[in-house]
Amino acid sequence: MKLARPSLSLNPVLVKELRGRMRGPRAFLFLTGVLVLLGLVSYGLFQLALPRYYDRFGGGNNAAAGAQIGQTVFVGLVFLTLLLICAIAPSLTAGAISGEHQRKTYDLLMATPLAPFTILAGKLGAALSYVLLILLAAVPMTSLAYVFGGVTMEDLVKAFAVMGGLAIVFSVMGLFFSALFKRTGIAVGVSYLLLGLATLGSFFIYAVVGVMRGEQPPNWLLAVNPFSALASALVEGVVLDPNSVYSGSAMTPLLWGLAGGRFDNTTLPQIPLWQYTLALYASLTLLWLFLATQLIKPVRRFQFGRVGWLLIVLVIVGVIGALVAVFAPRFIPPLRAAWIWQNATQRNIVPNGTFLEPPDWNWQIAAVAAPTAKSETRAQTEWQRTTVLKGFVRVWNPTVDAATLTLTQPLNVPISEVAQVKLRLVLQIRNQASEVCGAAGDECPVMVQLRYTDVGGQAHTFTHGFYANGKPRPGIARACLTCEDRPQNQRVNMTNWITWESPDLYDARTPEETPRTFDSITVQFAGAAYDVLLARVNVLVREGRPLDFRSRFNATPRWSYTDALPYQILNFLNQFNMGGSSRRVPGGFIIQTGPAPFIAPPTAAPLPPFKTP
Amino acid sequence: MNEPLAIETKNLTKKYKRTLAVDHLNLQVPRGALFGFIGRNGAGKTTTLRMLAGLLEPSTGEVFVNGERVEKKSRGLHRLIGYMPDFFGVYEDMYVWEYLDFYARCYNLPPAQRKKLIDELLELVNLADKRDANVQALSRGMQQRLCLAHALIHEPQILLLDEPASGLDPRARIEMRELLKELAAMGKTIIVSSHILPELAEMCTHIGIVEHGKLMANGNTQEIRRQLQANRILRVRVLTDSARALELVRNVRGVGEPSVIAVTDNSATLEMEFEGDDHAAAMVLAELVTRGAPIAEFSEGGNALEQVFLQLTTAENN
Repeated sequence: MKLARPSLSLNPVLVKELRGRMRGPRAFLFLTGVLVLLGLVSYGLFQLALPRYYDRFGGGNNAAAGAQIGQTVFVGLVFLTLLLICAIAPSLTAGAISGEHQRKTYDLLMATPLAPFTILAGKLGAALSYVLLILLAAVPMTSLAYVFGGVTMEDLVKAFAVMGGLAIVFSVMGLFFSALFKRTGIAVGVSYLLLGLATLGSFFIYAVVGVMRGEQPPNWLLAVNPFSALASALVEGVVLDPNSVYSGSAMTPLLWGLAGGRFDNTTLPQIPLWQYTLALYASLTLLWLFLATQLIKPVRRFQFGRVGWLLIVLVIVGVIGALVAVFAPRFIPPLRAAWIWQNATQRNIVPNGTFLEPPDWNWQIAAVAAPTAKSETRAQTEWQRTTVLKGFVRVWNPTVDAATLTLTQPLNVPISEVAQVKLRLVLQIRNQASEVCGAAGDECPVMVQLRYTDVGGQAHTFTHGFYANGKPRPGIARACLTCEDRPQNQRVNMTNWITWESPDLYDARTPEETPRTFDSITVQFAGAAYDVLLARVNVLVREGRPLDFRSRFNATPRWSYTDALPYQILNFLNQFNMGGSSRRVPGGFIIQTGPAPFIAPPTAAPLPPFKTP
Repeated sequence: MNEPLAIETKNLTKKYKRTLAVDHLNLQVPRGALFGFIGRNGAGKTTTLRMLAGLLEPSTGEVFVNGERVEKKSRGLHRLIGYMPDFFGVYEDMYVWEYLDFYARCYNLPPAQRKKLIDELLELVNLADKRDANVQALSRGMQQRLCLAHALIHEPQILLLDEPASGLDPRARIEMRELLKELAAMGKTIIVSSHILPELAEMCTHIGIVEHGKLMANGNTQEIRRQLQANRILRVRVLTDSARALELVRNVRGVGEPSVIAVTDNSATLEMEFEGDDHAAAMVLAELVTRGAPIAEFSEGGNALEQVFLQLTTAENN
């Protein structure tokens, strides 16, 4: 008997199923329905979000308002799409095998030389093509939200990746039950029952545990929940960062809560839930697929072929590997330190760094290094006139005279054991005129300085500046060289919100330079004709002993995921985001030893704290 | 006889929880045979055919196809055998040509061959004009023929047809019979099951009779008939009263004790066991006539195969 030749021809079951499914007006009407629903919902969300954020951010062409609207629409749409997938995916496959039994076509199919896996793959492919229609229908809608801003390409890709993965999981689940029960009704019922348990059931258990313990329950309880997985994938994104300017969106608490964090945005969810969910469901899907191939074989039902055994071994290894990766570190002494470090809480040591409410806002303001009395006055006057909007502060020098303004927050935080220190800023350069570059040498429109004292009593300053390129015009430099040509400074896109996070400051230290005290943090705005929005200033300190192996990375810039090609592409695409986006920007840094090189500490008498008019 | 049998089973047995559906079946189907597999409903025909088609695993016993033992993993079996189940459905939303195209794809036939074959098969089963009809809209008989066409799509050597004529009207039955003869003429080995004997009696070259999972008879139709000729029945209607008729018929050479089965005003019908072929039967008639019996009717009692069937099955029941 000859072996069947491997062939590149199309899966016959897929061809057959698609012919049946896509024929006639059904698929067309279905797609139209989905599009109408998504369109109506996004329009409704837009109408709801518009007054809320438009008023709050002072109206006008305000990037923050656009971002919040965009985010509200985006999150709403994505969750609606997931709901549609949950509702439709299992029903598309729950009749796949049982239908063959009930239609009495099973024997005819089994008499053909098709391998069970080929049959399953065909059925699955046909169902997924239908789900793909929904996802594709949702893409243009979410792109609209993308135009509003507040959503990054990273979020978009992540959301659709998670939804696509879950669609496969639910389709395979339906397929498995269809093969197991041989009755479509039961297969559909059990599929939805399980889905209900995974969603509502896990929320219920989560709530019960929370009530019984009287504290925040561990969020892995929600790992089986598809909605939590999606929420956590989005929460992780920069837009829903608790320290981001966008955290005020109406959708934030929802996402935060779904992902198992705290509704007040103060605590990050303990684990990145969606990764666990996808890992869990991936193993389950493999298992379901494997069992289904065994179930639909007409003879030798429980004899595993070579591939079958291989799959079983893979599943077992995968499950054990995942368990070891998750649970083992805390029990193995050499890894325990890493585990503690990984799980050490991060805290922000900068008070008033969120500019949320005026009473919170208590920074020392000083106008320094102003070359002329006129521009200094002007800067201060403009400063006084500038409103502290909820969530950010605007520093604006509309004159062509150079003016420098600093905001300083004394810290005086002693540190005993710190494993990691990171700076995080959320800001936007709305305008920077490069025609009027001064010669002061420090004319970055924004520059942050973190001053600290090391164990030997030596003072250090960490400095990082941002600048934006102006429009290219003949005879005029695109940027002020005085800011640009320093390695610690970085170019960002004008009118884009950016969230910048520094690498770990500890990577650059030597043992003698270990910080003892964080003294103060200063943000300096300098130059002629600049306009900057500053939303967050955080110093994130992760406590615990730094790990020994980290010294290997001492002072060498590490490869970051932001260096990878996909991220570069995302960055490129982000430029087309018209509504102003928020994105992570990679950055290097240097630490200056000695007194601050560019900015003197605010010796001038501080201005009185700002009060809202 | 050295040529391997198309299908042979050795002690093929299928046991369900309580019942023995197929009981040590030793079936032999030579190549090119049109094999009638006869048994009452529930006798184990379908179970046997499903095992032959590789759709059911035997509890014990072996199946040989073309002399080769069917292993658990032999996938080539599918390409040798075309199977048509007794009850089958059709997919929704499918045209007739798509139905055949689907199965042709399952056998991985190249596109050009696929198209040609579909047209030829539709011509063969007389459905060429229904090429673009929806399969669900076909009549039962047409669906049966379509299913037969599907079983032929990969040009198998062996056809397993489970009750191909069930549910068909008489005309469709005749058409199906003609079709089977045509296929047999093409040199295919055909196993066709039925619970209705006359359907198969004329056309089958070989016959297997199964009852309660046991094979009661298996072999050439003529051979079986001859083996069982000892039990042929002659029926004679004599235009006299029954006593006279008995007297006339009794002691004729070659027949057993006659019995009266029907009496009318002026005639009596007798039946008697008879040994011998048709020549012997003619001799019996000649002797009766020379004895002066007013014979109105002289016939063989019922269909011979039916007799065989009834005999075998009733004997088993007793």
